[in-house]
Amino acid sequence: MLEVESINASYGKMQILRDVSFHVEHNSITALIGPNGAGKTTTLRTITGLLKVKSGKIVFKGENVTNKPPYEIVKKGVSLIPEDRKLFPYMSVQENLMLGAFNTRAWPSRQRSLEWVYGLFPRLEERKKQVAKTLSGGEQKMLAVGRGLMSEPELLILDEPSLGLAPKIVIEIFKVITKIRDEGVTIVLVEQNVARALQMSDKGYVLENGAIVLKGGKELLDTPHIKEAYLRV
Amino acid sequence: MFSLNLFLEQLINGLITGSMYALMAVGLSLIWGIMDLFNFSHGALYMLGAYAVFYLATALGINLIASSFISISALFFLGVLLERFLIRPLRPLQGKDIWAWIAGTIVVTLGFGILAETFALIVFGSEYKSLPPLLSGTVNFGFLTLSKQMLLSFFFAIFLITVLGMFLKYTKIGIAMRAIAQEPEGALLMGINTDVVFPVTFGVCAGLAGAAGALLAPIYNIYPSIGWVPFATGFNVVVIGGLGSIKGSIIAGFLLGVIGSVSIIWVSSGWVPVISFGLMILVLILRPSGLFGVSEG
Repeated sequence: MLEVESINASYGKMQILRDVSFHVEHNSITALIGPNGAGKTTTLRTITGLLKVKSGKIVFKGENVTNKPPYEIVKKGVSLIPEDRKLFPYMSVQENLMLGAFNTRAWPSRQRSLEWVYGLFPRLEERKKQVAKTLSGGEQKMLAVGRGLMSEPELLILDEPSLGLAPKIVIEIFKVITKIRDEGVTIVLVEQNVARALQMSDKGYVLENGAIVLKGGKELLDTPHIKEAYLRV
Repeated sequence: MFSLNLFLEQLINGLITGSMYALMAVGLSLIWGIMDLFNFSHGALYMLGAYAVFYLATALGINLIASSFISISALFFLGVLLERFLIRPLRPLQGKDIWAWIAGTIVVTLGFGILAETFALIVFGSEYKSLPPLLSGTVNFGFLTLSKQMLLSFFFAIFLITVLGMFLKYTKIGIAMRAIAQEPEGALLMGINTDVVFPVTFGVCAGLAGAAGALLAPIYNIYPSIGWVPFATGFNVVVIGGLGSIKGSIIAGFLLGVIGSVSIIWVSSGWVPVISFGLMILVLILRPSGLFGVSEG
């Protein structure tokens, strides 16, 4: 569904991504793991059009979307739930959710999508008129995930969904992710919790210093490199 | 010598002037909050709005109200063109070199302002023009005497501000504008297309500036450089109210209008700009983000 081929990206003069390539199968859960500063978020930004690549190709559903503007990529069915949430602080929970369906494809069915999201996150419905800025960290994260789902994505990308959350909420969110995958959505997961990410995923890519160093399935959990660097075994 | 009648009359006059200040300031505030630029052509757009109404009413004989609507619409389209051809080419600078973006947008908007004034000077001439008001004379509310035309302009300004508020809250593009102001990258990730929203934003703000010009055209004289004082006042109001805050611009607009108008009771009118700018400096020192600072959409 998504092909990233040898992308190189920089912030100004500093090169962040070096020939990064990976492949995301339709309806799979693919994990992108690695230490802080490896370039995981940068990779996601290039896929969604927030950052331009200097070279390389990004292909989504067979179409070349390299360096296209975000609104075009979102319209094709890609939804990014950013690590820092990027909620609309002075809008209510419901207004934030509705904005998730803003692109024309999902807009007509927004009421139905809203009910679906409220079903997944009842706590959001309880607070639907509350201004986003005043929500707790966990609630904000739930709202960000819910908002990302409103666009009826075909490819859902989550950047560190469990970061800073209480374990109970983390379980809730990962349950939702599995549920969504069962409904046919393709998932890309960037996670610092390497063990959980690899357990959930069909395939994992390890990014270090802007380059892919390892790839594989659940057997990665047994590789010495992973065990020493990320699992502290 | 304190006279309650005089005070109240000046208070009301201050609210009326304040509504015009608010109109100017709201446009500046929106452009700053949504597009990250300070529009130095705002005064020129005000001036063009005034001239448009003048010529529509006198040369084409269209009634004042229709002329005002046509003028506002024309300014809207001018604003869309300005965004498309002057500002959009500069946009890549926003990511690469923020100072070049700031300098570039100032140069480009200020440049248009000067160009527009020169155009007016050559084409319209420098002599003062005056437009006969729609409603002449005054109306009495007990002890208050108010100009009918000024009241009409006041209600029209309130109407426009209310319409703007509803536009921002209930229309899809208004919501998109607020989203961009509050969280620009988040807005992009929602599929919002800035190539559509930015021209509309600039157009709306140009329309607001033109409206202020159109509403004051029948009250004051019209000449090519009338735009600069309203621009400076708008800037003044926006700083006091808080850059990017619509609510702040409106409240500060009325506040400044009232303070300016009421202070005339005790000091000569020459002091009013001093008081206004003095207040601005005070706010900058004590509360730099303005009374209602922080973009709130």
